[in-house]
Amino acid sequence: MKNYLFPSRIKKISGLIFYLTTMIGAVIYISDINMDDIIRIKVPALINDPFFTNQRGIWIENGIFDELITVVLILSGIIHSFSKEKMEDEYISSIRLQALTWSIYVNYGLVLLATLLIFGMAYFHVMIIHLFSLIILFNLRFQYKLRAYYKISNDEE
Amino acid sequence: MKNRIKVLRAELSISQDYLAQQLGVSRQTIHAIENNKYSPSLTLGMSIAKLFNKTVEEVFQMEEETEKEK
Repeated sequence: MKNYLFPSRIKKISGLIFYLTTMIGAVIYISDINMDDIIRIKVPALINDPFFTNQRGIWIENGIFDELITVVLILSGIIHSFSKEKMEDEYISSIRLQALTWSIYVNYGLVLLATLLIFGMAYFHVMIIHLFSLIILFNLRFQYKLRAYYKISNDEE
Repeated sequence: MKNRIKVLRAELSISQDYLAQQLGVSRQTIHAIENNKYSPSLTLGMSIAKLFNKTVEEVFQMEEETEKEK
């Protein structure tokens, strides 16, 4: 049966990139650095709101650091989450499915709470965090469960 | 669902590792099945039974059945 998973050889490197990018992204986001000033180049804009960019036309000048972080974080997160383990079997698949279910419940539970309790521009931060929270929560939960799985002792009788 | 894998394994003196290798799964998966923490798929269940030269019912029992037997 096709399982749509990536090969296990890219799991470690994608995990390293994912956790590194998550930390860099979090630090930059919390420290409120203006990312629009980093790596400014001309980019094609399918939709552009001149209110925010002060620019019109298809080609606009934009700091692409935030886009870079977003793309790398999402891609590495997906690859790390859905790479095969060295010994990928049906029990691992069931752990992955359980972690995915858990993370969807928790993620959308938090979004619902935020929707009911956070208003104004602060809700904009909720939407930004929500872009990455599902993949981060899923990764943390899956890795935690995998750690428990690999810790199963050699208690053969 | 209960199973008799641990007993059958002991009768044949084979390790979890050996059984896992024969079935193409990890030792942890065999451990989880033996301790009723994970119910294997029909395919894996049938492979386990075949490996022990038993029927699926001889290896796996539903909880209700084992209660009735008591």
